[in-house]
Amino acid sequence: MALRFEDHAAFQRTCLIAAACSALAAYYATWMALPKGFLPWATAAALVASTIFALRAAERWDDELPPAVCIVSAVALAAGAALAAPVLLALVELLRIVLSAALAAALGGAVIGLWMGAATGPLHVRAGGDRIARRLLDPESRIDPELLRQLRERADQLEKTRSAF
Amino acid sequence: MLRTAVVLSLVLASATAAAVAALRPPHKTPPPPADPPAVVRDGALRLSARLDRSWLDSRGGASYLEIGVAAEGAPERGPRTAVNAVLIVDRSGSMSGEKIARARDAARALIAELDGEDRLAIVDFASDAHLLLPSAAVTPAFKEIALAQVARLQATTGTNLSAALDLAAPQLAQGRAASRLDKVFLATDGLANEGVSDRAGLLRIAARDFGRATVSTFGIGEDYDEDFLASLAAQGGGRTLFVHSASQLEPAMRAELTRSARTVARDVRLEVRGMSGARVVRVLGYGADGDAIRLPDFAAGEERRVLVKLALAPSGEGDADVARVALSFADAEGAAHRAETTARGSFTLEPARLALRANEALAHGARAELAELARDAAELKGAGKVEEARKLQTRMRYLVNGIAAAAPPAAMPALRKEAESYDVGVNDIQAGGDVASKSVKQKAFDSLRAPVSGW
Repeated sequence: MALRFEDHAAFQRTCLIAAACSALAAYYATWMALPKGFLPWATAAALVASTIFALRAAERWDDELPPAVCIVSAVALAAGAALAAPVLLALVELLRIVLSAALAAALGGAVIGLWMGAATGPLHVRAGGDRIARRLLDPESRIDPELLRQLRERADQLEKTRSAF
Repeated sequence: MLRTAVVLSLVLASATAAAVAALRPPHKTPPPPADPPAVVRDGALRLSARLDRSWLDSRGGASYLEIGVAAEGAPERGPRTAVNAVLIVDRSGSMSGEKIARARDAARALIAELDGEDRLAIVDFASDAHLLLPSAAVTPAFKEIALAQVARLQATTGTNLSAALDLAAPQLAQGRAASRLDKVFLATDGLANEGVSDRAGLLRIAARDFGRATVSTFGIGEDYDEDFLASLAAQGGGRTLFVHSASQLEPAMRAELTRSARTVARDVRLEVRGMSGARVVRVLGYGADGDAIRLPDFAAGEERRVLVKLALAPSGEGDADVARVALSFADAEGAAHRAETTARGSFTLEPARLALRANEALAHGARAELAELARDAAELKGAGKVEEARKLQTRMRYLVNGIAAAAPPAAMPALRKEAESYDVGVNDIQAGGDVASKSVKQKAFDSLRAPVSGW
């Protein structure tokens, strides 16, 4: 079965916005010295942003939902990203050598956001050709039968004219 | 399509970088050179000094110096040292009613706690000062007379505190002996308005009149000048207490007296000097008495912390003495002692070393600075300078947020909670000297000056 990735722009937007929201949350959490560090706040911000943008993309699906396996994969990837987020602490510690604590946390937050945004990727996967190709393959269902009959007659006449020469 | 590939590449690259960072072997930083505090002992006191971090920025900056002074021995309460006490009681017009009754309670509580080894004099004041009881040994007969005299205390007009201080001084001198601790207790509800009435003048008089005596102050009601009483107690090495109710007086008096149980050091002074280009910006919570900082008397087992803010000048890389601390005191027998130590640090430009977390002294220093800011914010808010108070409240938040990444994580929740409590307290202030203002200031005073074990 052919698979295709639909709506690249929406996917890129989701990744970008999730990364930005998460970076802001991480920066704010570090600057305000919120309890439990920046990680939970950045993860929550990324999750909220990714969910909102995934739902907005879903509005354009019409009656065509992604395969169930893709939805499950997206949820699993998002959960995996959240669980893997603590490994970023070591990276942020390294970044702190050259950046202020808040900026290093913001970069770490941006990475979490990117991961969360990327986790929405499977939601953009569709099976088979895209909508336009499928409609072109099935013109009869869309064209008025009377018009189709006239088109056939004209095509027959053209064929006869061409064979006369 | 291409952008999607870029996004996915970024995801892959960041995941790889995070994995590599998490799996890399821990960076081996040389052990801190001066983290354990330099400790010296002399007589009954132990002196320690340490900077808030071992690695200092060669380009300069700021650092807290934490000085610890601890008395040897167990803190158990044995028979207390005899005291030579003078109680100064306000009987101005505003003390009428419940307040004068509380003042009488204070006097009764003090009389009840003293015995034949102690001496007591009571001075009361309104427009003029009056010697209610001259200094004498607190025998059972004296107690009877004293209680009868106290019962006759009546409120009248005027508040001439300077006259009371002057009248108390010779009584204190009269009862002085090597075996007794000099203690002055002041219970008042208002502002001095006769005689010398400015704060600086009154503090000068108290310093002159009481010298080495410990001065503790009790503010009754809501009208007293808490800043003056706090300054007087700070100068005299004692405690200031905001008395909400009469029931507080007796335990407070008892606590002040029992603190002299097994007093092992008195007239305790610290001198701090910056070295290697470091400069003492200020000693948090303590006013300097000349070059020295006066600390309260030390009971056995008691421990106090003094935080000093240092400004560090640019310096070459390497180990250096950053501050010298000298401690002088008299032991229970009156013999003089002196101890000295230095706080060392290591100057560096290496980002990895400078990024190391500081020790608890950073949190302790920030806590003391927080208390100073809260006290000043309360003062400004009480004076109607709401915007200026708000700026200090913002500085309080910046202070806590600024050290969050460098301070030990375990110290941060308590510090944050304390900052919030000060913030709420300052917000609650409606007028200068109201209950909220007095509460914030007393909390700040205790935070700055209470022993580590707490009052």
